[in-house]
Amino acid sequence: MGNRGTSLVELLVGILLLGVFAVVVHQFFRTVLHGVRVLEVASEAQEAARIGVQQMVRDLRGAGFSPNTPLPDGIRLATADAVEVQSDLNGDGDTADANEVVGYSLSRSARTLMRILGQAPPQPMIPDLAPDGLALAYLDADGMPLPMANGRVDDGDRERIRRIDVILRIEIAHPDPAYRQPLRALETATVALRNR
Amino acid sequence: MMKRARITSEAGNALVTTLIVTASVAPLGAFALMQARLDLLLQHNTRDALELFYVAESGLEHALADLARDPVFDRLLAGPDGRAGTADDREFPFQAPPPPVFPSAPLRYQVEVEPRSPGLVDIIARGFGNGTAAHAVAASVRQSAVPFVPAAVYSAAERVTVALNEGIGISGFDRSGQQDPQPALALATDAATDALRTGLDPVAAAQLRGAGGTPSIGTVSFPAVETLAAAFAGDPSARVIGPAIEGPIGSGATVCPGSLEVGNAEGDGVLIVHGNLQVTGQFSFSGVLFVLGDVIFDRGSDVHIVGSILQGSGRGQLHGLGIGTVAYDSQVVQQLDLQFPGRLPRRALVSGWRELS
Repeated sequence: MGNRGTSLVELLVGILLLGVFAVVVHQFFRTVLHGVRVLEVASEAQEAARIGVQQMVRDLRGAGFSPNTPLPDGIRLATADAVEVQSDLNGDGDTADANEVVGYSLSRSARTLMRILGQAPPQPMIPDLAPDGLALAYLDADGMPLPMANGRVDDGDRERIRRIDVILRIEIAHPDPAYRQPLRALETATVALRNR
Repeated sequence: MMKRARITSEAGNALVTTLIVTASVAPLGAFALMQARLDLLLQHNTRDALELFYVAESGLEHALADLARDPVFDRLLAGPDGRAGTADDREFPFQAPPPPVFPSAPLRYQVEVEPRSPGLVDIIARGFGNGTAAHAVAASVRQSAVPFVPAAVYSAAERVTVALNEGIGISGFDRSGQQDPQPALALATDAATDALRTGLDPVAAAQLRGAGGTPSIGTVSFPAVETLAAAFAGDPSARVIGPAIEGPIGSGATVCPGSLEVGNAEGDGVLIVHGNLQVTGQFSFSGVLFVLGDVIFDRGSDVHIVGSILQGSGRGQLHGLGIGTVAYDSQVVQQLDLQFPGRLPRRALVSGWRELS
């Protein structure tokens, strides 16, 4: 006793206790890190949905811009999962210049939000969309939804569009394979068309 | 015989344990902090962008509201000092200066006018926040193809008195049916409009028909009537007449340097009266009447004016005691504009909106 120090038995017991402590700490951190990872993925999904909707709102809001008078056919395509708008940004009387045509569509096969810019082929913008990841509804001046025949607003009715409801759903596989339910994020917006 | 090794002291065990725990926890803490910071940055950026968009929008709405009150295109290009060719030409000429911060520091907006092509300008509103953050929206504003006259009768006087009997009507409904209704009577300031509405007798009120229902009275900002009158009076073809007239007045620009008494007369074009206009007989006129004094239709008068009456800022009596009509007619105004190009102001029309950044 006194200042005889630590015996081998005491040391072994100490190492054993440290081992038990390490296992407990490992389990604790594993759970915490797993939670962090889930939150991170959910946060990424929400952020992606937000960025996608913000960009869509921004592009759709100015549909039909022309410095002289708003274009009557500012919305070229209006379907339940695709929209295409055009503007005459430089006032040259056509919509063939850069950034004058912008569109969005859902690629069901790639589960991706595609963005169309000008004459270029569609580019992937937001991945991991849900199968019904992009839902669009078109409203008239009274806030009434415009009917869609064969999934699209008729040519004659497109001029009546005053607002567009946008819903973007993202589904990302759960980071823990044990969970079958994906992580989901939903972002919605109503776009008031300023040039109508 | 080998000597058994013994650790002879417990000193430092607590330190070792603490270091192990700290080493385990620190990376987790650092990761959590980094993640939180990243999220905060993203949230701030999103919030800042949205905030600046709305600040810029507020600036644009302020400018467009100003423009709705004073829809004259030419003033847009001259800046707040009203003189073209000066340093402030690109600044939007607000009637009241915008607040230094909006809605609170450090947010603020700034509105500029950018010429795009003849008869077309962009009004660009920028929202500013912390540092160099900015967001811009723009509205394109074009000059109307047709000239702008604000009402059947416009008075720039600060104090306007209107007395109309049941036999005389003032109508802001476009007689040619080409334009939306205008006010029957437009005044230059809200104070003048409020004062007139308060003191207007019901019989006179019922005679003012046009935009906004009866009594059709509106506030419109409009260039100085005296300046417009001078532009017409300066035309080489302008004819000067005496203080009283009977018979045909003729066409074109007619100027009376003082007050004018009109008996039985008719004419068209522009009649500029530097004093009071008093009608005593049967008077038919198609065009624009510039009257820098009072307008008095005596008892027994029979007045038919098609076009518009523009009264100066000096005197504000409008007395219609006879019978007849004063009716706004956009086609008559347009014909006058063809006859005297560039003398009547043009309206500013918002034709497009877009987001710049």
